[in-house]
Amino acid sequence: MKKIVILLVLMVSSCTSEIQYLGTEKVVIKGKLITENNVPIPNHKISVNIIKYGDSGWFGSSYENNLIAFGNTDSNGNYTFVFPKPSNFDDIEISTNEEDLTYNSQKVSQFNMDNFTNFQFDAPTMKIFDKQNLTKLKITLNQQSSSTALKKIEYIGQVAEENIRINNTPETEYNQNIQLNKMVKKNQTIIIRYTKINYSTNTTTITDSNVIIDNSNLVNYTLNY
Amino acid sequence: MRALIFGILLITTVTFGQNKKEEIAKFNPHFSFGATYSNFFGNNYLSEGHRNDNYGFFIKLNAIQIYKFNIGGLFDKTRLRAIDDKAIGGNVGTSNLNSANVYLNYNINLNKHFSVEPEIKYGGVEIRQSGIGKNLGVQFGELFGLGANFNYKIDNSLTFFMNLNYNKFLLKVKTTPEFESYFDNSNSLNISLGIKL
Repeated sequence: MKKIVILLVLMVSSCTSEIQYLGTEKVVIKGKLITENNVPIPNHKISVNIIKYGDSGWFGSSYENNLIAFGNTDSNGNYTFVFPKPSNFDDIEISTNEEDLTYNSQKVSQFNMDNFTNFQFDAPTMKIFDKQNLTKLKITLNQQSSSTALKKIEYIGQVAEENIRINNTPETEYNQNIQLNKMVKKNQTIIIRYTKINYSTNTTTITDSNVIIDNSNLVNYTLNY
Repeated sequence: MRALIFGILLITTVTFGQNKKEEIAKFNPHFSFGATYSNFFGNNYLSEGHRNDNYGFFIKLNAIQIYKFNIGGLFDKTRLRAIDDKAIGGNVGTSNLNSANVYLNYNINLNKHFSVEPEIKYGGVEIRQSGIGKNLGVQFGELFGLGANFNYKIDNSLTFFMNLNYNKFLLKVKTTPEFESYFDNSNSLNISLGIKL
């Protein structure tokens, strides 16, 4: 009997760890979708997912991903979503259609109810690029001194950001700061601004390097630091 | 809601305490059931966010009669299928609208078989939404109804009736001012066919 009670308690607690929704509160997400030339993109599919990360337990994985709303941008490239307020989740993610053949995908991720003001979240504008105009910039790191470390790499130019994170964790912040593969627009000059620390002198230096991006589909660049 | 139930009990107690010969009030228990078709209208989520092919069922229990007034309770369940646009309202599959009401109607006999009962009702309502394989929340509110029953009496134990009715829903919601009026109310015109035993 005791085992049955424990089992029931475990089952109930397992059920309550799911993402839940409150019907009496409706939250609103608004945003805009534009091209690389700042032209609004009409009638383009946007999705909103509610995500709960979790470990595998006795009753399977508690990972959950709910497609809570989706729809198309209006004639001005604006989108609005209204849905029941979620609770017991980790992240909300707004994404463009990842299967789109013309444009690259982009998402606004890692935000939650704390980022809403009076039930509304105004998402940063998503800029997506024509895939034909993009090339891959691949950075190879070349450490020249054991006393130096790279802290951050910034890309200044026409860069296709694939993920706009709202709340960075230390882990995602590091990944965002040291991105070695970037989709960038063809036929331009990109400035790579990198920050390095010299531990022997305890100094931080910021250096700009110009990288010419041609019309090819892959550009390799070796960053010496 | 509780006040209405208390009121019914109070009326029952007081009136049955009086001289029965006056027959001011009497127990007049009748059980009714049937099907309802509802058409939601107006610029609101129940109307715009759902397809208007909403079918439901109801059960109705007439409790007491005071002169020609009837007082009773009504439970109604209607299923609404959400439209394909999942942007405003969320990825909802169906909304189940459940209401529990108290009604008051007045019986007008037209002849041996036909009678009309103008009716008002008030009650509580809940909208249970589901989709993507899970519960997407419950919204609560109030319902005010105005309509009439058109009865055809076969004999004392069997009556067929049709009910035409307008419902006004006032729903509780917290959201941005832009969407408040879209989610906090609705209207429906309903037609029901039923049997009274």
